[in-house]
Amino acid sequence: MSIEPLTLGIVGSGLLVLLCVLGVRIAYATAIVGTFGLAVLTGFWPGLRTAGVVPHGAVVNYTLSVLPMFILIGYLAYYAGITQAAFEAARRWVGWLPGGLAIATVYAVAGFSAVSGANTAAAAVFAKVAIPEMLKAGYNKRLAAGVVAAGATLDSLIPPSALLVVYGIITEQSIGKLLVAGFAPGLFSALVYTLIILVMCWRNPELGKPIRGYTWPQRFKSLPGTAPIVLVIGIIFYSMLFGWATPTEAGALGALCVFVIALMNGMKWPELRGALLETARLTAVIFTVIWGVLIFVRFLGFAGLPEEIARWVTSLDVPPLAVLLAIYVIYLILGTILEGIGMFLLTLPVVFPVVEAMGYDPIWFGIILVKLNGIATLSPPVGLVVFVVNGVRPDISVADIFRGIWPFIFADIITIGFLTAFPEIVTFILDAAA
Amino acid sequence: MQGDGTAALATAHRYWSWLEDGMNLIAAAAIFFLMFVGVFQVIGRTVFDTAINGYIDYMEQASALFAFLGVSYAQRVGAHIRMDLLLRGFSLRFMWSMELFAVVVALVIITVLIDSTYLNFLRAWELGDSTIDINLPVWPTKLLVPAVLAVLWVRLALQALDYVRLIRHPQAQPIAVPVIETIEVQAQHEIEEALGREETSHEEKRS
Repeated sequence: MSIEPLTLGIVGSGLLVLLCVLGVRIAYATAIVGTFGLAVLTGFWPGLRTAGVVPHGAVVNYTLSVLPMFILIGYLAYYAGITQAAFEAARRWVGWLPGGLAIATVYAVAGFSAVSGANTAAAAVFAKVAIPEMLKAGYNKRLAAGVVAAGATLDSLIPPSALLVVYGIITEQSIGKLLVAGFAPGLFSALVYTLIILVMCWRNPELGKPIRGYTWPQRFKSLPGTAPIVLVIGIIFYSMLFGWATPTEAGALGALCVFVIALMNGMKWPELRGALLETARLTAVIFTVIWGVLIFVRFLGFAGLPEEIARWVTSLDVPPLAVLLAIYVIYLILGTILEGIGMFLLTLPVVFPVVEAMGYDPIWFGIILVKLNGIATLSPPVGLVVFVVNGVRPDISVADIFRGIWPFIFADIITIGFLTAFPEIVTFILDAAA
Repeated sequence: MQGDGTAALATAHRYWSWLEDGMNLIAAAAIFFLMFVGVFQVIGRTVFDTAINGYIDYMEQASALFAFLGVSYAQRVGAHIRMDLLLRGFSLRFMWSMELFAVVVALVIITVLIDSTYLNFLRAWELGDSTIDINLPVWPTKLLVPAVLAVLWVRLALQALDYVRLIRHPQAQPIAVPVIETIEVQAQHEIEEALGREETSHEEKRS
């Protein structure tokens, strides 16, 4: 009895979803379906041998060595004294605007979140640093909590972004281009947040009043404290834009900068050891899921499923935009129940060929997906970031925080709309550099 | 009955944890070292117009250390990515049963992969496979894969035994397995970790 490769691909994909839903870790679920799928398609021993080549072949690769560098930057960033300094600088520079403290929080939390690479950690830290300051200044508690949670989700667009690296690995796109392309939409998202806060506080000044009284010298004096953020983002962005260094080298340079600043800030051996061990743990997690998924991808390739789905979707009598919007909805739903890296690795082998066949720019699509993941991280029912803010500030209920983030989810939908209607927002820097 | 079996499991868990911690430490050291190598390379190339001979080959082979050495450690602490939303809220016995199923699936595939990655090593060994640039032999990193997977296999087996014990005694204390957290507890852990680091940093600054 022989099974059609395509049928086997569909059965395998269904089985994979089932295993994941039953709680099997994604790396093992993908590896087992991929390995036995290959065994059925290509013969038992040849299939197993093919699977055996993947773990070493997939990850012993120079391109992937950027990941531990970015992760290391994140763990060292806690000891570089960034949070207070970033908030203080942002407050002095934009506090005079209506809702100024909330706007300051957006930029400070987004900067720290980008460098640390962990939106939940950024939300926890700024819930402690920024919310008390906002409440002391008479800000609305929903706005205060909402802005912390929402600002934290801007992490994955601004370099260094491990999520964009993972997207680049699985779709075989230039990691340098992705890192450059994410910067402008990240900034754009922050600007849309700013606009929303301005409108809200202009219409109802009781939500958040301006903080005035800072002189220009005081403003400039606050800038050196933001050096770690500016250095890390600047080094990676500049290196990628002008091809001055590889992503790994830029990541290493960024990590060294944060390491030196953390040492100057008083980091001791136990903290460094902890940061390194956490880096190693997360690196192993990501690499394991990468090779697991790549075994599955090889099986899908033999089954011819991604090409067939792409062919089927492009033959439908439906405008590509409708398909794209359906993909947005799927990612928004999936993102609420699955962590970003896992979701990307699990879905992109099938979704990416479809998007590519419809003629959309792969770099642009990566940025859109990362943005969608940010919204999903924030959205009910899970919204871990919201629970983190509530954990630090139990006096602000989860329901209140969810109410507080709606304006920002609305802002994010506007951003997604703009990025879809004007993809140039994503690609103009790359075009200019080219 | 939780007599000798439990004690033996706890002992095996403790010793295996040492090994896993040690392997993760080597991975951590490799990452730290590669940070300096990366900086050295970029400064050497741009400032002194010189580069490390075989830089890419060294980096690639060394990346096997951090790609694989922490795998079993991550399994022990429950860090490998998964969708556990549906496992929350059920009875303890059901939850432990599902966990056992997940670990048995992992055991099956890791058993297969130990064999097939070992074959991959054997081919490299027999053919004298080497890197493109400076001809570094690749068999050591290929051998690392089945070796690390064997360590993971033992961890998975310990976890399977512990889940069997927990299914028999659902209220017993887990020994070799991580516990599924509710979203609130997960959030609390994230907070403790993040704020713990922050506070350490500020205390040091003050002192």
